[in-house]
Amino acid sequence: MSTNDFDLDQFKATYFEECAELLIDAETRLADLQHSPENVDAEDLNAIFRVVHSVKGGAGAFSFDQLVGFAHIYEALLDRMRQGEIQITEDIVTLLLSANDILTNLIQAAQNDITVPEEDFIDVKNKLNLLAFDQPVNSSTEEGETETTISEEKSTKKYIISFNPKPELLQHANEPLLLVREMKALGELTTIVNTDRLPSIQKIISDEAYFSWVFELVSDCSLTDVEEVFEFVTEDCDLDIKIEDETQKPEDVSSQPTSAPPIEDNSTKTLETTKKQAVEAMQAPTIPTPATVGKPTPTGNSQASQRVSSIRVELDRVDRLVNMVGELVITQAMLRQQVDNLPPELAAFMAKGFEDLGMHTREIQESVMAVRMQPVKSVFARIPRLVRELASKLGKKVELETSGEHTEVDKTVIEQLSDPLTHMIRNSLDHGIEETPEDRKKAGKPELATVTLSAEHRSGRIHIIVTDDGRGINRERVRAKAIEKGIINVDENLSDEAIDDLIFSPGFSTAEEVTDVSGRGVGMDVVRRNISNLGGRISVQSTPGKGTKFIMSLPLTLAVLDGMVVAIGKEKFIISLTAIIESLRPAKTELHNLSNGAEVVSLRGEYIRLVRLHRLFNIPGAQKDPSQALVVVVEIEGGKQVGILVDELLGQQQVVIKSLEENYDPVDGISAATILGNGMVALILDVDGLDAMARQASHKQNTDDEIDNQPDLLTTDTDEEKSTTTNQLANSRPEDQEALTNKATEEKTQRYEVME
Amino acid sequence: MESNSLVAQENMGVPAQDGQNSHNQSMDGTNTTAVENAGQQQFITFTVGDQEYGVDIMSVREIKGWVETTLLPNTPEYMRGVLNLRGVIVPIFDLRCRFGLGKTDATNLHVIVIIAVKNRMVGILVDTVSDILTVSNSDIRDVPKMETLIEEEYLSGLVTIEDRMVALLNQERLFDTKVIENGIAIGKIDET
Repeated sequence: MSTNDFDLDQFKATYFEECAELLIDAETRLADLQHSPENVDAEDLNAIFRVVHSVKGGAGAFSFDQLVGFAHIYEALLDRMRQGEIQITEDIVTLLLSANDILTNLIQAAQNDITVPEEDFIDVKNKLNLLAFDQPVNSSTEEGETETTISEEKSTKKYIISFNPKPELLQHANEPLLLVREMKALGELTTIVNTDRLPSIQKIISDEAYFSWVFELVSDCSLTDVEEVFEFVTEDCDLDIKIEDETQKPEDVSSQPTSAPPIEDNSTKTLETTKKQAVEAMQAPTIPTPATVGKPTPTGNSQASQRVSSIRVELDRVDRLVNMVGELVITQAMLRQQVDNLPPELAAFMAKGFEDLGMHTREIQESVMAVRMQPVKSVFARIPRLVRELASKLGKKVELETSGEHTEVDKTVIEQLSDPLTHMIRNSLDHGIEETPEDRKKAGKPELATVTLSAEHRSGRIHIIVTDDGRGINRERVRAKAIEKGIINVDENLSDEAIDDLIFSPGFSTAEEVTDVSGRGVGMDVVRRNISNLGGRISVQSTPGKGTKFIMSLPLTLAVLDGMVVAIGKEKFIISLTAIIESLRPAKTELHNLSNGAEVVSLRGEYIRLVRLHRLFNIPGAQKDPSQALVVVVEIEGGKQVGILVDELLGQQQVVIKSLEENYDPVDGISAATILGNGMVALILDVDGLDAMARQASHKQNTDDEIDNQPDLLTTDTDEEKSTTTNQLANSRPEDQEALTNKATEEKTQRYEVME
Repeated sequence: MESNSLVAQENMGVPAQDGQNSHNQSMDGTNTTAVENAGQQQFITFTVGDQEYGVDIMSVREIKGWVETTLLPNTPEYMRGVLNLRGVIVPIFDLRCRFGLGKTDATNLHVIVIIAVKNRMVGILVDTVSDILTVSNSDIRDVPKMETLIEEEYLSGLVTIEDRMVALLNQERLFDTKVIENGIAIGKIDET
């Protein structure tokens, strides 16, 4: 065994990876416990125990002493809980949650090779200590693998354990002597060894197990404790545990009803039933059946009961696979195009094959994408706790309902989902729900407020909806605030929806004072921006007095996109299909120039600003007359619409998104790149960015006396009346939210500067 | 890393065929994999006009003939767009243009050298690839102070081979984002 630093680092990495996963599991289960402390699933406790135990074990191997110390106490408490010695109350669950947090911190600290100051967690540690070791029920805990409580009042039982190791036992690095010692620690032990299988000395293979044993253990410990001794060797031996009760009175070891059922009740029944019931109750993998044939599973320990056939794969490898499948799709499309150029008789021959190939590649693509899909559960799991903590902090009574946590979405989306979701929930609790339960009563609503969090698939996207039954958006206040902050003008006449939408404007926060919960200077605008960066949208619906509903719509994956290929001059670009509303060729009479240099198209009474892509990107040879070209109407941030001028639409296509930033810098107006069927790169347009660019450009034209030396720009028909100030313009615009969007644009522009 | 230099060697055949500075024979004689002798470095050299430049062989990932690229809007003139290198989007820079000598009229006889700069991959458009040089560190001369900023800053040294001078590129600076921004600024000053 080589244990140089490099190897150890590798193991450490795996360990931390595992820890992260384990902790998420523990958190989920703790959330379950929290939800119904009176009705605890023993399996949850066991699972949490296993998590902490595994964390401790690994930490021990790498000598993260601080972590081991804490995990040990935590584990001891959990052990007592699952023995039913400690009643599970809300307080305890809260304590467990904080213990879990500390465990997470300590793991992180270990990962970063730092030490957490003891006082950071001494409080919790002491509480745990108190509960785990100093309960009135006299108990002593031994260091090491078995924490067993010994108390005189408990019934003493006689276990007859026949332990018959398979020859492989030793090869799997198990040592019977240790088991014997462990059992000895449990109580009075009598050992009978059977040496029948021992061959003559010449034939002995040193790493084969020849002995078998029958142990008689007189102890007050539970069957589980005994089984636990053999927990790691169940695959490698035939194990049989019988109970002979020595005491007359079948006293209950686990006096509390919450954990394992009283095992003593079974003592008169057959061995099989005892085992079965114990196993059912504990869901523990210590099934003493003859070990399964074949190789032992890699996790031949505590995971055996829930043997999920899954493997851990680095995301990097999956990405590579996704990448190559993308290439395959492209190559296939390319070949297909070339087949069309073949003579008809050959083409027909090839067509069938290509049809199959096309189907297979599509299937491969879907399967590969499915690999990256994960249920949103991992994000949702953190929310109940957040709600609970916030509710108690804010003095509100809130119940959280979740649904659709099994809805699957790409891992990269999941990673990005957590922050905006947390923010939305915070917002709902802080602003959405009435100040006090009394306020709710007055409004004729139940004291307990409900926040619903749900996820669902809808038309190739995932919708995440946060609903509260609070007071709804106070439109008067929002409006007043927006005027105060200069987001809208006093005389602007906004629809209800438009007012609701104002809460997403930058620099907007209606909370009168900055609370600890929300209003830390980051508002819903950040949420909207984060979501739109993911290619998603967020909208709000509110009924005053009834509640508010936030709807987040996100793409299922960030790896592929349904796009429309458009041509401008010789260049081809992709516009995301989800952004496109319609495309049209406007009549000359529908085109208007505004005094600020912007061009608009009138469309069914609405005015839509025109973005001349060829001008923004300096593309030669493009159709400049909108009445000869096409206007693609797209929806941009905030639900507004702009028209992008293109030469023609070339067709719809699913494209694999490639990062441009990987090897180059962000380019304004471009969100990413992709590869077309002919192997050429095509750029995916960032419609929000284009809108910002267009505004910037027209702004520049207005303010700059010197016009850029681009011939294209010089010949525009819109550069008259440059002197008009933007402020006047805002009033003269036909659209309601012009001022707001101007602000948004400024903000965006700043962002681009930062990015550069 | 060995495989990288092997790729480079494999691909050498294509661009080298038309090289007027043909030194193919030395290429065969050089063992590209057994490089890192103390104090020695290897460079792949290529020509732009009649000037010869070199880049560290270990940074070269691939050499390929010129193909049509997709232009990126609003980028400096020497940024010749991006191309698809087996699924990775790689930006291509025109070295001639980068040194202010005008845009290269690229034909399929021109060559793109794909190099790794820090953790990015970039392609540089050059006229031909000519040689692999093994140079001992002591033979690398400092770049004398020059009037043009670019030459001085973006060359890491000069080497004389027989009667030729090879300018070694400091690719990290040459294609550094910030430096590129400066380049844009310089370009703008030139225009006025």
